[in-house]
Amino acid sequence: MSTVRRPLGSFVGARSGDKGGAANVGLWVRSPRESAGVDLAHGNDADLDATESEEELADARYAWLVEVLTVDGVRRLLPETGGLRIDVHPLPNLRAVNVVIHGLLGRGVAETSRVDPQAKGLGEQLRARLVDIPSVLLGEGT
Amino acid sequence: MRAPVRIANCSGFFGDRLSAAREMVEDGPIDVLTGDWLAELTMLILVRQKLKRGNGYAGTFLTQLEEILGTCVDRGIRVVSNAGGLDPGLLGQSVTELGDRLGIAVRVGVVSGDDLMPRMSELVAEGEAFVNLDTGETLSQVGVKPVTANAYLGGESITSALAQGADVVVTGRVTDAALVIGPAAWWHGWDYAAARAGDQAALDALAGALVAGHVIECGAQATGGNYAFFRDVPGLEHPGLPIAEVAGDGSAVITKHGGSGGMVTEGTVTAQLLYEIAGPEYLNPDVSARFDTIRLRQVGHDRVLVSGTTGVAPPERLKVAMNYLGGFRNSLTLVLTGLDPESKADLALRTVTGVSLERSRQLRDDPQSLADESTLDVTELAVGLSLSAVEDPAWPDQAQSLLRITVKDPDADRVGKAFTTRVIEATLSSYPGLFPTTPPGPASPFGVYWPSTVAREHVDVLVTVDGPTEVSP
Repeated sequence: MSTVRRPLGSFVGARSGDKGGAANVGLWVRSPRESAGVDLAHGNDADLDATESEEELADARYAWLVEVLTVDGVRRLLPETGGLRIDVHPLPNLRAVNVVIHGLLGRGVAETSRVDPQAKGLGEQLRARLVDIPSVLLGEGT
Repeated sequence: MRAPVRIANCSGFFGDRLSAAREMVEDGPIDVLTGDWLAELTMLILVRQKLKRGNGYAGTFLTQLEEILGTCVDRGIRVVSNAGGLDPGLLGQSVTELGDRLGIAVRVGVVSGDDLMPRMSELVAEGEAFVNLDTGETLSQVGVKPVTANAYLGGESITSALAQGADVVVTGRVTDAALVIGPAAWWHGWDYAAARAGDQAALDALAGALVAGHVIECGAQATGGNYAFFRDVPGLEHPGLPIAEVAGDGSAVITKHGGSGGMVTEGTVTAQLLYEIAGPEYLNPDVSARFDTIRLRQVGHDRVLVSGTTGVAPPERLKVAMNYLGGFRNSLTLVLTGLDPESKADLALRTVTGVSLERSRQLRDDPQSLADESTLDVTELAVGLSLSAVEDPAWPDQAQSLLRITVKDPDADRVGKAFTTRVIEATLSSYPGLFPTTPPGPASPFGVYWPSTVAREHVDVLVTVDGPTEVSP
């Protein structure tokens, strides 16, 4: 299978934040209906039913994302996590993965010396990492 | 079954857009206005405010309320806010006074009892060890005294205040989503007791409202703010804030007022669903929601249906947020202009801290050991080097890399002048072009967050609407 080295964020979104000393990042694959939602928001007409091939592409992208975002995968992408405990929870109903990194923020936002004390940018940092993405997944909307 | 209740959010934190309350009340139809003013850190900020100004509530809420109170009372729009912070009773009093001043008859509900500080010694005597959820340590093991200790209350007391006729409900520490669960349960007459007895429809309805509350609790984060695909979002200079139209079964349509900026798509809702969650089960005092059962569906222009959420029994114990004063910190950032930024950083570090750049990188996740090896008399030392200069820089900002040195210590003096003087004394004797981004400042105190739990029976929730009434937490 041919792959292309591209940012993880090519078709994966992320949002990150803090809960005490833990940082969490949610990552998701864009919904097949997302472009319709965006079109509507811009005042254009759009069909709210996704085609079968759009659904299949989103499913294939999600299956790939789950393979990439294992505990070891997250550790490789974010060396800052060192030996910290990492939990990864797939949420297939949202085509999303919830990642929790325990202790990344020391004892919380007020205490940590991290430049980004609430891990606000952690998701965007992950999206910027280069990964080998199967070419077939880089269809429309990349 | 009643029509869905339209619950609008107008604040995602203490400091969010001041005009949002007016926008949400005036720019379209709503039934309830709510908002969140209390982040984990906010309680600590309010402690300092209380010492300075005598009250520990979010005063911006009163400024916002002054603009909308008349309209809300006229139209029957209820207002529910956790801006009470450390002083919900005082805020309730201020709302009553505001009504008097404006000539508006307003019934004010106050939810309190979350503040455990006055009862700490009693609770410890009754066996509460306040074990840290992250570290497993007890308060006495670490030997620290909290300056804030608040149990997270659920939506039931808010429902009670609304049912008793409160136009405005102010609370202390309730969960962010309780600000939506409470009004939804009041509107639809949901039965908390049935949920406690395990009735699945009651659990699912509450869980649906919990999810809707989680989606709108952070304001514009549901409408295109802080969104990975921000380039797709129209009008993001001034996004509208979110509205949850919560139906009788707990399903909800997330939307915003027509004509406002931003957008509501499956993507913007997904992003917020994933924000600051710890796993598939999202806990709350009234109910826990299974996030692996949620279904999203774009059903129209800026309209996303959130449905299918399964509710399960809430945790036995209530979560508690504590903060204690951890000590003092200081930080200085040195600008490294042009060539050889790493060599410059290394010289500056060895001069100021006695450790090399290489050693600081080896110990970058161990600030205590780095401090031990340093010539600075501090307990923690952290170093960050941002190599942001580009090759052949035509403009100053293209030439600048940044070296950030942060120190911490229980003693303010050790991270005050004792630290900054080292940097200043190096100005003419170190690498070429040394200057800091800001003048050296004094040490500032920092807090430490201590997440814990408390038994429900140890928390006495008080709801007052023209007189006190007690409900269970």
